[in-house]
Amino acid sequence: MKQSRIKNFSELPGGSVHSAVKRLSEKSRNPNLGLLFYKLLPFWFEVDELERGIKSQHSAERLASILEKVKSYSIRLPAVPCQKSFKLKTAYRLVVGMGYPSLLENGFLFHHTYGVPYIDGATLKGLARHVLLLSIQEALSERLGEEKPLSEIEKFLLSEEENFRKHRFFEELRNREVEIVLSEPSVKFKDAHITFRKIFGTLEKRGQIIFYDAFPEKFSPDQLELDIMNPHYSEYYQSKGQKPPADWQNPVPVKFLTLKRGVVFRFCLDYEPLGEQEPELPEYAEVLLRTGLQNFGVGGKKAKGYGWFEP
Amino acid sequence: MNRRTYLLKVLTPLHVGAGQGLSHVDLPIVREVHTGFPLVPGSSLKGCIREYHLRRVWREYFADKGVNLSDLDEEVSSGRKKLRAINEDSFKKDLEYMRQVFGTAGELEEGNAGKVVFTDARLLFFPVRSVSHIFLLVTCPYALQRYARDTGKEIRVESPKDSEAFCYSMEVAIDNRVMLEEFVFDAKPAGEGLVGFVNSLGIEDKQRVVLVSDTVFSELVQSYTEVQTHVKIDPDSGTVKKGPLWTTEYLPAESVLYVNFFVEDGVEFSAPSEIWLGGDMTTGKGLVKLREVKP
Repeated sequence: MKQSRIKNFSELPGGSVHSAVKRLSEKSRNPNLGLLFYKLLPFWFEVDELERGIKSQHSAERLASILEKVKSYSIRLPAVPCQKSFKLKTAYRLVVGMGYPSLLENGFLFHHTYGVPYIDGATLKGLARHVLLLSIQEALSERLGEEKPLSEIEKFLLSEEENFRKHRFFEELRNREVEIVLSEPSVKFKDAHITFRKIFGTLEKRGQIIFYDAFPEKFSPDQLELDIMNPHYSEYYQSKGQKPPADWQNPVPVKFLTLKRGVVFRFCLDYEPLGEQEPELPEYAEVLLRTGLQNFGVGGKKAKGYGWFEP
Repeated sequence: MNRRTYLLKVLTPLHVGAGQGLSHVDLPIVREVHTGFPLVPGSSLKGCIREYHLRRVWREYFADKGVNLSDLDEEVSSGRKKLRAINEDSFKKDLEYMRQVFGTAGELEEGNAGKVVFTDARLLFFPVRSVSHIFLLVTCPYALQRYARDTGKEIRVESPKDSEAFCYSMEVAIDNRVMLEEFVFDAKPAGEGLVGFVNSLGIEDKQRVVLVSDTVFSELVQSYTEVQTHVKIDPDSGTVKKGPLWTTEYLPAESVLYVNFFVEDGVEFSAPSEIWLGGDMTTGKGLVKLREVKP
């Protein structure tokens, strides 16, 4: 047998000898799923299989069988005390982190330490921010009779205090109620532009609300499932439209990992501990985040209905 | 001088930044020069704890009185603002406390350095992903000896070979092997020294503790921290903005560090039980729990 590349994986004396890693991994019932997904998956294959090269489809099949084996796994996640928390469940499949390279071609976001699927606080903050930005855009275009691009409004909202107050948008929005898009029942914010700066911060001042990472309330590996995408005209996409999307091209099924429908997540918000703690801000932030999660969703393939939440 | 030792448990990923890096991550964390271990500089800790008190006092007396935080800050360090609060006596007490603990700018009559010395928080246990128990808490003889030296204790541990891992509990082993990331080690039960020390710390998750050689530990803390990729989404198109994609390094959740405060006699001092350190606070990063270790 040829010498495997994997034998020389590292110079650490502990080493990662293929047969040993394979045996241990197969016996494990409590693995860190992130470690398993990104690093250990190749070890489930025989060395000669690896030498020949594995297709993403085979990796997916192997992954499915491993998940089946470890489905009784459990982890107690530390609960973070926070001012405001609410629960929503996935209304369809959820996939965050598809862009990370993996053996399956598409990635999946696992928490570094706990190895569970989660949604990063930065993603949630970005989503809530987008909802308010859209709402302000709508209020302004109603008022001005012309649609302003979001980037222009964002620039205004992030500007220095002095310029912010001098801007013509400032007076347009002053003392007016802005309806939050798609909020149900409808919610209106007074002085939404000032609230925006308070919640999300500007280049000069930190936002007053913390958006924590969101975790599933209870997690077990049987909440994960493989999904499939099946591009029919791969040559058309790969050639960026040079070749026609014709019927003689074969569909290429690609499997990817997702979280199932119906998994309950807990979303936590808190005051930035050193800030001013205005009681209405967490309320507002919750409305924005809820509206965003229920109508826009997070993660990949949102246009196909992935990643949105329901009560 | 009294020595007060606290354990710092990282609850959410912690980024105490070292500025721009030239390595594989764009925004690396600070590390000790000689060991490469991550740390939290004493100045960071002091700054954060000072701000914690400053805000607490400001909120109590001045939040709706048109007094800026920076005014209180100046009052604490120089006394020039002559701030007055309704509850004069207790405000004076708080001022006095902050001046004692954090020092003043030298313009007061007794302009002085703080009466509490904040040392760097040093790494004691580092969480490493594992195939058997989700993650294990790894430490090494050097880290333990240093803890012993810094806290005036004695810890006797045997040194594992590079291929060995001494386990507090053999539950974490499979077939007498332990796996950390993709590396396999021979598992051995830890000696009384390590078991006794871990018990005395009273940490949660003690069954996850594993002792490896200094070389292995050093490799793990340098190459297996958490690295997150961040992008900016263009609000108009909803797609990733061209250009900015950057990576940030974090000390992972569940890391345990320790810190010594040296407190002058007669000064009352206790650290807050929870504090935010480092960057990205508004996206939930950098929450740290502090707990005093009884001598």
